[in-house]
Amino acid sequence: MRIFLIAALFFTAAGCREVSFPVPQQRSMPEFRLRQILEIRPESDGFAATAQNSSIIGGVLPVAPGLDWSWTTAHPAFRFKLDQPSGWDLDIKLTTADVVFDKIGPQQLTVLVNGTKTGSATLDQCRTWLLRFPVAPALLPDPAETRVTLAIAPCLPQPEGPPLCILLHNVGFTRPLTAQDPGR
Amino acid sequence: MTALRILFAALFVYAACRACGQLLFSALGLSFRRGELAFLEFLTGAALFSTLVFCLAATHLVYTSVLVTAGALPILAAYRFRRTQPAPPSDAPLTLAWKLLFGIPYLVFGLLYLIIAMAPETSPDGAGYHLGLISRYYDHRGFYHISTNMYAGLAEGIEMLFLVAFALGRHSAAALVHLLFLLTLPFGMRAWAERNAAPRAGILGALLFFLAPLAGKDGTIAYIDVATAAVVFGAFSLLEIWRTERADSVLLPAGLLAGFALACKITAGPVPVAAVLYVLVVSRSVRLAGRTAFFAFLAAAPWLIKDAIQFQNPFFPLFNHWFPNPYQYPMVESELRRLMQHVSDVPGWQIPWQAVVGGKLFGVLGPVFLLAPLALLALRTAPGRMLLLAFFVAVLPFATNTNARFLLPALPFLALALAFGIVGIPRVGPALGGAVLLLHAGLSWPDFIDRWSPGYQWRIDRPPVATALRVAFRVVPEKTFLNDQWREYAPGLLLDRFVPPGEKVFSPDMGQMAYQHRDLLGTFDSALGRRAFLLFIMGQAKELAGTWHREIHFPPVTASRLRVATRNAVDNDLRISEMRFALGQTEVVREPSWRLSASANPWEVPYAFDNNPVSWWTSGQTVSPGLFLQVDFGHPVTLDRVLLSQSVDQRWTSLRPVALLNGVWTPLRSRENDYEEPPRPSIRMEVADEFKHLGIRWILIPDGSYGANDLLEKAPYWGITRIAEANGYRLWRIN
Repeated sequence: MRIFLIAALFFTAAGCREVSFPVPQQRSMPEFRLRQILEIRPESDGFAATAQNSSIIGGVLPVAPGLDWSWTTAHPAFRFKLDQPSGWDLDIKLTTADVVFDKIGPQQLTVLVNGTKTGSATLDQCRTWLLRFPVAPALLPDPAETRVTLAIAPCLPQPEGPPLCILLHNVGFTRPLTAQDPGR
Repeated sequence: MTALRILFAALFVYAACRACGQLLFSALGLSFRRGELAFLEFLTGAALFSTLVFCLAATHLVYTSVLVTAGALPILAAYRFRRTQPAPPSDAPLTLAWKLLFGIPYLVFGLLYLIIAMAPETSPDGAGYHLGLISRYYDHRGFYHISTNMYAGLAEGIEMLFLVAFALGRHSAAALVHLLFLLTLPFGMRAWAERNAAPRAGILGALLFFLAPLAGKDGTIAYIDVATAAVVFGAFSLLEIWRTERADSVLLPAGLLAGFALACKITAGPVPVAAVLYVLVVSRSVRLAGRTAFFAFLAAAPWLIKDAIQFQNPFFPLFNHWFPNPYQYPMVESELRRLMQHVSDVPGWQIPWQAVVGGKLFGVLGPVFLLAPLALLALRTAPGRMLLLAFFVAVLPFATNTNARFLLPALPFLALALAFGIVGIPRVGPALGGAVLLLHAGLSWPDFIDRWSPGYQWRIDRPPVATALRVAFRVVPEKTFLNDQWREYAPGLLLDRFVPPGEKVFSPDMGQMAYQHRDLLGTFDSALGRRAFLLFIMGQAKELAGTWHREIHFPPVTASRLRVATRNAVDNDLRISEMRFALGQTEVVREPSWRLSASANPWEVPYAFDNNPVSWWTSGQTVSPGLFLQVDFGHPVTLDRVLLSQSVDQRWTSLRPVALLNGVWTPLRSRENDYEEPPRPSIRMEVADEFKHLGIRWILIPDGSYGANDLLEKAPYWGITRIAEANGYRLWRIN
């Protein structure tokens, strides 16, 4: 009998607690940005196309399975369909590879949007870079047909095949959300 | 080789159970008739072996070598002991005709069941949580706290046997273990009838159960209903043996099995209660009833204790109103109860028809069970009355879930009572019984079911024999079969490939747990899952995405505690995204010393004070007057306003402030200024951000499912990236 009483007490106690909490850490809203980013991922073997309304025109070597980057040549180019001309920044995530950096040193990256230079950066360290370049609305006369070209120099020449320049993770446009964007 | 491994694994579990049972019976000096001995040894041993495996899982010793040792030791001990035992008494003889009437259908259907059970497991619950959880326990070497799946709180007595089989032969071996119960139960039913001098009724009753399409389907997959039926019938048999022979030592296995019934399936809860009452009524001895209760408790308690520790509720996922916890909302439990009580919206008067031939309750018993009223003829005999009494107890839980499977624990009693009724008809009874048996066998053969039951049924689909054999013996590789036959198989594999271990995946429509290893969040199987589901909808539905701002004004009051309490009943939960206080135009700044609590679901109260509009406290239960959210300021504070942010769907709930004044909770006279804020442009990204905050970085959703199109068409507005797809399922990563 005692066992049952103890057991009953144990199980009943499972439902009897008074719980209170202190005020939690106050959260702040991050800046939400619309992203039209082209992720460099393999599309074969189950991978989906990684970005809508964007595509690689050329200059990116095939992506190996399981990786989220690929080598580029000296002039990788991309196409994007944007919904409006204003407010966009061009974001690029890339890594400068030590195998290249050790042999040829710093590299210069120039970004062209629809053929017009939009910005540049000196890649003088061996690391991952998150770059952002504001894009003037005047450079996007037809947002639905936007072409981005990266010019990288110098690159590591290969005995066979194209030169190896940078490891590109993703490239694309982002902008802050506006009242015109669909809330629902 | 794979097929041999599967067969060996199931036979090993059978041998271990038999051995455990034999050792216990020997220790107690019990002897039974041959037919019932095999049945009762297996079941009682299953209870013991399952409890042993539970202990191994609780101590994180689930290694194949340990499981094999745990099974091999009793086998060796029983083998050594068996040689010194006298042969048990023989069963009553039967005519050749009746032996054939039993043997031929049993062998033919048994072989069919074996081949079907050996096919790769694809059943919804089997390849979902039954084996999904087992495979995770195996990976983790034992139990661990799975807070995202309420099924982890269900008692898993049979699954512990699956675990041993899974370790040796993987998924199909577990299904084969369930088949063992289906194959064994007819012998137990026969033995009970023979003990009551009705061997022919025993044969008819046993096969009425064994051949029933529902029993065949359920017993050949990694479910647990047939096993529960066997355990319940085993407890009944032992209690009857105790009653007739007055051997009190039988109460030990009887109590164990009664408790084990609860450990198999929580809906068998009435069984141990009825067993104890039965002993009390028959013996008029509190001591014997207490002893039975103690043994039942031994078998059931491990699961209750596990749930009490892991989920703060010994009966999780049930009774969350009585044992509130952070893992499941009582409201979701109530919703599920309502759904399960009205499966397919079949009205009560149609239930017998649908269970027998209609199939809307997911499974059919066979047209012969239309004769079920004849079971009342069994009332003429004492055994018949016992059967019907047991049927009444075992069928009670069916009222809580009208899925036909939930009839199975009661079906052996009904089948035997029906058989007693038919065979007991003067002069023509036995012949009629034989005819009914043959008719049932013919109608239950998979090829014929479509002829008497309209439309799709939850039953064995018999492929051509050659194909079935090729699948069973893995001439067709398991992966090929699964890829071809099961839409969810390949999408599930995407998770192992792309989602890092330990990450959660919100997947509102995915049942493939057994062949992948990631943590899935469904829409109802945990509090977190429900939160994720509402969040997901919030991104798309105006009623949730829009904000309902309330300003509750009242005369300035100085109080150290203040509540906002409900005044009316609403068929919805109470949700508050943000709660603030003000005096005049100045907000009372939140202080770390405040203590926040609620009358319901206090664990999520911080969400109402985190300065995030897309996180919320929910009551987790439907609104009734007096539900409250409370702040203890720690010191007197003067206020004249409460500011609440809620979803627009919350506007129907009437709220009022209540302050603690002079030690008395006093409602404050108040008026409200409310207004609606339309959804913000960033609502989808806010939702995605909150997903990440909850530890959810992935969404797996099939095309056509609610919200799938929105993800596809507005992916940039969600801030998600499509990573992979298979069979119409898309895997999204939240950026």
